[in-house]
Amino acid sequence: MTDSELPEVLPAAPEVYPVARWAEKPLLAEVPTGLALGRHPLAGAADFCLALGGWIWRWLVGAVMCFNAFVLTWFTAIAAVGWTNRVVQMIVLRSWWWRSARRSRGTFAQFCESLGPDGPVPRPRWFWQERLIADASRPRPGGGQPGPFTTLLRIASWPWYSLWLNFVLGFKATFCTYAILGLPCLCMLWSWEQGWLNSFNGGYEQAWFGPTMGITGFLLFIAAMYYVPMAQAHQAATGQARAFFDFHFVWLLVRARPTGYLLLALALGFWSLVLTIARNAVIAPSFSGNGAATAAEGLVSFQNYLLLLSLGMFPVYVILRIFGGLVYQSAVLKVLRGGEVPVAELHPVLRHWLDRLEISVVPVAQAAGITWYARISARYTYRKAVFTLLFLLWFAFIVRYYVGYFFVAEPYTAFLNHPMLQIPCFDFVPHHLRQGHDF
Amino acid sequence: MSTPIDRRRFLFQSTALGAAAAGLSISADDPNRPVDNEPNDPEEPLPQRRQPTYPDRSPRVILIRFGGGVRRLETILDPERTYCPFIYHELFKRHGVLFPNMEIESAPGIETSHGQGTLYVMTGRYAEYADVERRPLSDRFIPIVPTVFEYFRRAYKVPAHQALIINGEDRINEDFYTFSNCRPYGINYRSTVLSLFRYKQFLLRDELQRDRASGGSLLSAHERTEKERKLREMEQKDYRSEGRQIITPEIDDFWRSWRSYYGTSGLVNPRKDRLLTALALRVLRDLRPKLLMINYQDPDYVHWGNPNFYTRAISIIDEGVREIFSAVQADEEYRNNTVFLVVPDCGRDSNRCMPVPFQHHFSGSPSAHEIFAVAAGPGVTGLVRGGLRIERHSTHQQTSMVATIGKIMGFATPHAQGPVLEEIFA
Repeated sequence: MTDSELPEVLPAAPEVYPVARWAEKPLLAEVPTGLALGRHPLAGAADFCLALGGWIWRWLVGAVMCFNAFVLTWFTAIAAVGWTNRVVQMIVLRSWWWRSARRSRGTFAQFCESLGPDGPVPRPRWFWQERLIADASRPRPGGGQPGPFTTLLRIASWPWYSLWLNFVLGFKATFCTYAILGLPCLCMLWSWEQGWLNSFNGGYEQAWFGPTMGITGFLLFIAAMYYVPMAQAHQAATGQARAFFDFHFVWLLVRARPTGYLLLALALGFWSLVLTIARNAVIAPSFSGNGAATAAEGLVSFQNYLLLLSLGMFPVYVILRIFGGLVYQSAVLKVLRGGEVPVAELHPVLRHWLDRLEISVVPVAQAAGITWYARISARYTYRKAVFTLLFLLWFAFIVRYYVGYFFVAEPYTAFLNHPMLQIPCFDFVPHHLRQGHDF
Repeated sequence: MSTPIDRRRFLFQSTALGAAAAGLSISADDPNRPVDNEPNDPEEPLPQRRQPTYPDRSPRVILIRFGGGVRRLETILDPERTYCPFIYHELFKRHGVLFPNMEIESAPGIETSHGQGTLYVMTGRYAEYADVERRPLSDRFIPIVPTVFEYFRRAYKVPAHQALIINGEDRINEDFYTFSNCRPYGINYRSTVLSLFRYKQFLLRDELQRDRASGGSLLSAHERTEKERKLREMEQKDYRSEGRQIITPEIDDFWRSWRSYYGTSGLVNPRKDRLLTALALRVLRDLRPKLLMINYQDPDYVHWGNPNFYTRAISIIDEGVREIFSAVQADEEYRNNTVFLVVPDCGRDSNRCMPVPFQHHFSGSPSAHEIFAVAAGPGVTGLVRGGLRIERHSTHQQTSMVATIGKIMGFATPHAQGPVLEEIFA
């Protein structure tokens, strides 16, 4: 068949276009109430109190995880990263559950139970094993029911299992983040230390090297930060470390929700600034720890201050990650709707969730025309503008960091760890003070 | 036959002189008001005064600004932990007097910083200093009362090249703290500054002069224009003298000697505070200053966060003082005839909750006001021998240095605030 023999194909009539078949959002009136589900009238109030108490407890534990004792804090803060990832996973799932018909057939907790003993939970625990009965009676890996010895071992792990899980997930998340951010941070650290050392010794011949490394470091950092927050959300949602390095998919998500991503960067930058100001309060001679009569009293005073700081900044850290998760879940649905990623190529965990939630996302075909072209052009220009703003935001983030470091220098660790991005460790007690000395 | 004094003229001049003296004495109590804003015209011939020459056997003074801001803790407080063992164990213990409780007054407008501290030391008076154009973070100051060099050079016939300040390469503005705007002192009695900045000016000037002398054959037109522009730029940094430099044959010869030894690249000579020591040693040998001030500075590098910069820089200054002391003792003119005065420009913070407690030196920090002084004149007649530590209930002030130098060298310091450090005199 030659070109001239090709049949003329006309655009289809609009009424035959396929449409995205969302599960119909049930009207509020249609959502069965607790009474309809056969629950006691006071059960809802009890649930609320339990939930409130549960979150308050988690908040307090999280704050202590982010600041307790020297060296230990770094490990417990990594566990806080893992716990936060589990919260983000729950948030992503819950956001999709809200759109699902499954809402009318049970609670979110019941839905999570149906995903199996290793599925997300509505309120991730810090220490205790989730779903105790399900864990005790879970079949052995090789098949068959667990014997008494196996059951005993499982029960022995209950008090600390979630702590271990949080730590493992946090370690993987931290490792993946440092795989991308480690090099820029090291470049900036090296440039600062060696650059000033060179300046102190009058090494004019190599004067260019320190600043060049510094500029390289922060350009790499800015480039990495276009990617890292969304990658962290993807890893959190899927619970798998390798998801962090799904570059193509993560970049599609970033491009799908540029405005949300920009707002996330703004929030991260703003709260990092707040943290810097709070941390740099020690520069004042009138700061309570500085003004205390002895080093021991100064240490206690400073520790109290840092605990309060942790109580304030830990929930901020969690909320920022949740914000990232919300942007992430919206971006996933958008790329599915736009046909950029077929459902079949979606991450297995996400695909499984959508399947269980009975959410079927069908790509919408768009008619090519002047409106479509105008939309594409505007989107391209808008995206360019947003990505430029992102560059400036992360540049300001770095400037904020350097200015804060000039006022209160913390040799080495401050360059390698940005608490709002990496490990939320708020242990800023100087080494000499920990040992009971003034200097 | 003498001219009879006209009574009216005498009364008029006396009244004017009295009014001027009254004005000076009133303003001397007000640290915020400059005494006189009109600079002396350097072209105007100096009034005919009988200036005695400075006697050969009168003491020379080397004033060491232990600069960049240092705490007592790392210097004089603990003999076993001092980072300046020579200054502590030799200069103080064997030859001199230690004032461990010297301070910078805590009052509004008095800043614990380098430019201001240097001027408090040089003028003997606390004052609130602001940049000449109110530019933020800039320290282009004008001494509000005469500096110790002006007092000295007005009292004695001392050539410009023998009242010297050796300045570092990082604080160019301090090259211009050399004179006040106060009559009858001022620009004609200013000190001479030697620094890397001045050396670079000399190189450019010398090259252009040699090019002119050769009829323009040494430099291309482009090179000539470039060097002239660079020289102009450097001269414009001088916000005081409007380009009027002290260019004396002795200073030029000094720089020629320096050039023949170290070349012009700037990469062969010692660097940072070691450069000041090298300049001081050469100056003592070639220019024979009677009053010399050395502005060490590198402890201030700790602002950038590495505590080793601070302690290492203190040790470098100590090494430099040791070398200068050895050179002085090996020189017949200076041996047993030189007084060393060591004083910091300011202290440093002591914020225990900071990883580097002494990173800065804010004026609100009590520790930044706490300094010390060491005075040592080995073999100098009339000075206390070594090892005297002055502990007293009331503190000494940084502004005492000028009056003390005046007493040592025998000149008046009418506008200096601080009392003489009498304890150093036997």
